[in-house]
Amino acid sequence: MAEQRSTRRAGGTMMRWLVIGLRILVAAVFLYAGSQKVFAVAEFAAAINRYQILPLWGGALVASVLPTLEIVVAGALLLPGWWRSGALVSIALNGVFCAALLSALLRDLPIDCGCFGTTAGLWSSLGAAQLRASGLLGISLYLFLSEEREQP
Amino acid sequence: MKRPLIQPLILVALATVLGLLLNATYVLEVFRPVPELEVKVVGEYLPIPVEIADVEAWWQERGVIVDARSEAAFAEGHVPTAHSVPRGDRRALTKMVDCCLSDKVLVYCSGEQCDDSFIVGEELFRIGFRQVMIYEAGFGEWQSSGRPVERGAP
Repeated sequence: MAEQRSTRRAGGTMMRWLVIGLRILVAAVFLYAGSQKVFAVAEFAAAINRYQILPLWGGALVASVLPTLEIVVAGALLLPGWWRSGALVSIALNGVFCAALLSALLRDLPIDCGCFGTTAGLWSSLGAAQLRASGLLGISLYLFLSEEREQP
Repeated sequence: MKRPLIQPLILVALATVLGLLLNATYVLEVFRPVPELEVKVVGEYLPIPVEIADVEAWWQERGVIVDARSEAAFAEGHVPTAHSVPRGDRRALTKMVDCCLSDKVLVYCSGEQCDDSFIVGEELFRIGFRQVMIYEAGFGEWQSSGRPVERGAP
């Protein structure tokens, strides 16, 4: 009985560290992505407009708000009491990224994803971005649904 | 369960306010009304593909050259005397009408993989440039051929 309890405790500790590690990972990606674009709004708006999904004013609005949202989500993921909400917004963001990237891939648009400003090279290809967004979506879903409660 | 619903809204609201405050100048500029450009389409848009030697000759004749890449790419390097008209930038198009409306214009972007030169070329055609030449090999070829490159923002 005591052995079972100890195994469960060890599993719980591992799970807790896994959740913390994943939160840091997703936060780091969002922080990097947001910081690369937050002061390059015109450039980012041009990248959004290349997807040919939004009108020009829509691209400008999204370009103004999305980098700060990424930074805010990164902060929330690191804060006790806020990380689950951060994960929920991350699910929404990555869901939208996945849909936009899939649409660009299906239309065979000759663009890069614009995810990290102009510095990412191969990391910005649509295929790589789709893989990354899907991975982050999966991790965010896992975080949101994990049984960890109110851990720092 | 209430918190997961209210907190995300707080996060989105906070980011929206911060984003709009940080980029207030840009957002106001985008939403400021732009005078309608007069459309002067005559005939069909049939861009003429040109090679690097034609571009060089055109540049030496001081013909109008348009760089259809982003402003940041333009600032990093462009064909000397080129004007920056990023795709979808109506203000830059208006400037082109004011400064340089003529019969012929040459447009380029990064290279074969981009279609910005074709799209911007069509916009230039619609506002009155009769003949649009497209340099499909683009700035990549121009730069790698060792021809002069100018740096600086538009």
